[in-house]
Amino acid sequence: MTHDATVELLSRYLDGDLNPTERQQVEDLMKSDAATAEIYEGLRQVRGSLGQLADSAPPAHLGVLVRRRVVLEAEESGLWQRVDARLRRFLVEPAMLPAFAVVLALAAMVYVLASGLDRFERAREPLILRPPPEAVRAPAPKEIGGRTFEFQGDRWIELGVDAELAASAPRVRVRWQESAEWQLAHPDLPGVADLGAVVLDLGGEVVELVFEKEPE
Amino acid sequence: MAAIAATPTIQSDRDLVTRHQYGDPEAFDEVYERFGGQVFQIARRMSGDAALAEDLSQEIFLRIYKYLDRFKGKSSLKTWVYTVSINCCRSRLGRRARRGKSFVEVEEERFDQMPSPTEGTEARVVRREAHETLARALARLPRKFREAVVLRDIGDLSYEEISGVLGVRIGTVRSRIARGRDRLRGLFHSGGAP
Repeated sequence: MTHDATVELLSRYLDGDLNPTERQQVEDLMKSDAATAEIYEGLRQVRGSLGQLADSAPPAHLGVLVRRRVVLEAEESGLWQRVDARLRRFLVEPAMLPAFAVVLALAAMVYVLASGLDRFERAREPLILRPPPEAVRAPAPKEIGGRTFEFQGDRWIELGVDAELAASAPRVRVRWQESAEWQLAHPDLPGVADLGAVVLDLGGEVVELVFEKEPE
Repeated sequence: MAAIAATPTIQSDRDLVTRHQYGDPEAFDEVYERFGGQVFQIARRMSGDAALAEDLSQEIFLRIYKYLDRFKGKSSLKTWVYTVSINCCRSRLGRRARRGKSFVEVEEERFDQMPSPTEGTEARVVRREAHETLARALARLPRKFREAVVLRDIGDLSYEEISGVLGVRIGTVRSRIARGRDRLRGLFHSGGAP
């Protein structure tokens, strides 16, 4: 028997995947051949240690992050998915095709009219000159609770946070109703909620917090 | 007997999916409660990196959330979740490999298992080293062997379930598990060196 065939038999023996005849054959082989018994012992150790690797628990915050990400996803795509599903149901019904054609024609008409009006409105708007992008200065760094935050792109980033960690930091949206509560829980960071989007180190974990503004 | 035993699981899988389709947020919570730990372990052992495994777990559960309503019940929910996990790991780790990052950058293992009251410090250190060596050796296995071994010994899937997840015949599963374990045996005893 080749080495691979022996190993496969031993591995299946470990998993209880052999019939009684094959099992007996393996047990006889191990009794008569010390090398086979040694391979079996090695495989048994590997399997036992792998089982121990599986015992380490996932970090406690993972469940919170997963649920938050799912909530964000649901908020972002929920409306589109509902529209998409209804449209699909509508399109697969042949009797609905004439009705669909009428709706499409109406939609096209509304679009043409609306964009025409929009063009008219835009023509009446006074010309506004804006400074070139390089002239728009980034806000000065802010000092909060002994930490310095620098504005980069569209968010504030805590100085000293690794750039790669900042780029891949999980985004957590804090709704405006929860901002005050968050601020109360973090008295060491007064006014952070006013920054909008901010990347910072929270107890060893780099996260991007996006504080929503209160609706007017 | 097997069919009778499988019926309640399949039924509860379908119930869970139906509840998700009708917008019950607790249905997804239940999916996470049932599979969160195993998905994280698969991601961790496939990537060899705890931080990357957290990202991967989030991606996997996002996919599960998005596509759970397409689950038709042809396999068990467990097999479907593991298939999503393996596909997600393949795609993310494949991109990582193309960018030149190796799979074998294994971080220090967090040794957070409760020590036995009778286990001395020295024995604990030895056990910890063995633990780390095995994790490194696992990360060095070729992907097809690693997938089979992880699904069997960490995910605790049967040969048939692994065959369904990987889309290969049972004979191939048996061979990959055996060869994977045999290579681990060799790598393990040489301290994880290739």
